[in-house]
Amino acid sequence: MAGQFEQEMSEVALETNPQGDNWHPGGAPSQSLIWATQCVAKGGSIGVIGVFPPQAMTFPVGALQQRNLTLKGGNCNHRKYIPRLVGLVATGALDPTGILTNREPMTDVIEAYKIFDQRQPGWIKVELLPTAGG
Amino acid sequence: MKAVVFHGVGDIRLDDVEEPKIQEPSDAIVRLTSSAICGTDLHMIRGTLAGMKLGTILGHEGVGVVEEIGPEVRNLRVGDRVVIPSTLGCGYCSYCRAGYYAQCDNINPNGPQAGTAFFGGPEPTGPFDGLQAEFARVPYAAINLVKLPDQVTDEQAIMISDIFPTAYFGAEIAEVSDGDAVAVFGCGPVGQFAIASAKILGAGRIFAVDKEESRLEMARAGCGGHQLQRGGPGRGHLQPHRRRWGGPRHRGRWGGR
Repeated sequence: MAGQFEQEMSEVALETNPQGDNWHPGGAPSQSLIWATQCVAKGGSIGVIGVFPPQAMTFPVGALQQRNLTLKGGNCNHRKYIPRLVGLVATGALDPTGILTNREPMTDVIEAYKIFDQRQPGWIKVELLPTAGG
Repeated sequence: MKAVVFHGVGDIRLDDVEEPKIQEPSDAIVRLTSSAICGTDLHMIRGTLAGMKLGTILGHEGVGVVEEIGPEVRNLRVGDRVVIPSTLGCGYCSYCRAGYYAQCDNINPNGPQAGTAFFGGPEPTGPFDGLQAEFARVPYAAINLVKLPDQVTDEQAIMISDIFPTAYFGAEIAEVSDGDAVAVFGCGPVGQFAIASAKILGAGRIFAVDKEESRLEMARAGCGGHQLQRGGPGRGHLQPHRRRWGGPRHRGRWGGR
């Protein structure tokens, strides 16, 4: 599997520039896709989200076929959902700030990026406060 | 103004840059009161999303106040508080009018086959200068800005610029419906919202998979009574899911790599 992942990484990470612990691409590009096709019930549906580069080529199509799966993916159509989610939050039914773990002023943004990049525990979502608004 | 600028793979800097100006009659200028760092930004810095134009301002999440509008923006006023959707659309092509803003025919200057236009992305996405800045130019502002009611705070709204919609889209395309068992792989910010979205769409059981305990704890706290199952690398962890529960029917996955 490791050799497979290395091959995938060479497909998607054409130029890298890691510095110390920072800016290392993920090491197993198709892992969660593979898990998805194994984990879902036969005949089930998979939704793939996230921004992928056009060079990404790997998906376990054998599993798709063998298990009669439905696969849907794409970039999010944000404008379609935002008005209704704003409405949901406005009613108080859901408060999305629970996942906000860090609030950083713009002046500290580069440092915040580096910590966020390392996935340090507790750094789940970082809000940035631009100096003009604050 | 201050902005986070892309100078190369592995090289981002907080620079002083010119403030954006109205270019088209359908533009607006927004003064940003809140922005955020996203996992997708990391792809560009790490090099896994290539093609960044040097000098592009990063960031695709923003909340702010309308500072200036072009004459064709008739649904907003200066002073309105708005949330900025991460992806851009024209609002009038057949794709936008079918809700497929990510495949808009018009807004990407690289043409209808070029793909999604979003803030702070590589050249094939525009490029459009991003939202980790003090001000931003928003093209087709009438469709690309959503007005906020007073009850929704800036902090709540910044979650709705990108990650909550992305997660909700994930739950929708995974076809989550009433009673379903759903597995969510990756419990970062988008994963947390995917769990919440699966719940909104009626899921009966939600399996949250991550190797970080703090993320599973956050998922547990958010979802309350739902069954949450820990998972980790290695197939062995996933087998018990299938045996005990008959296997999840639906699944969401996010975050790229």
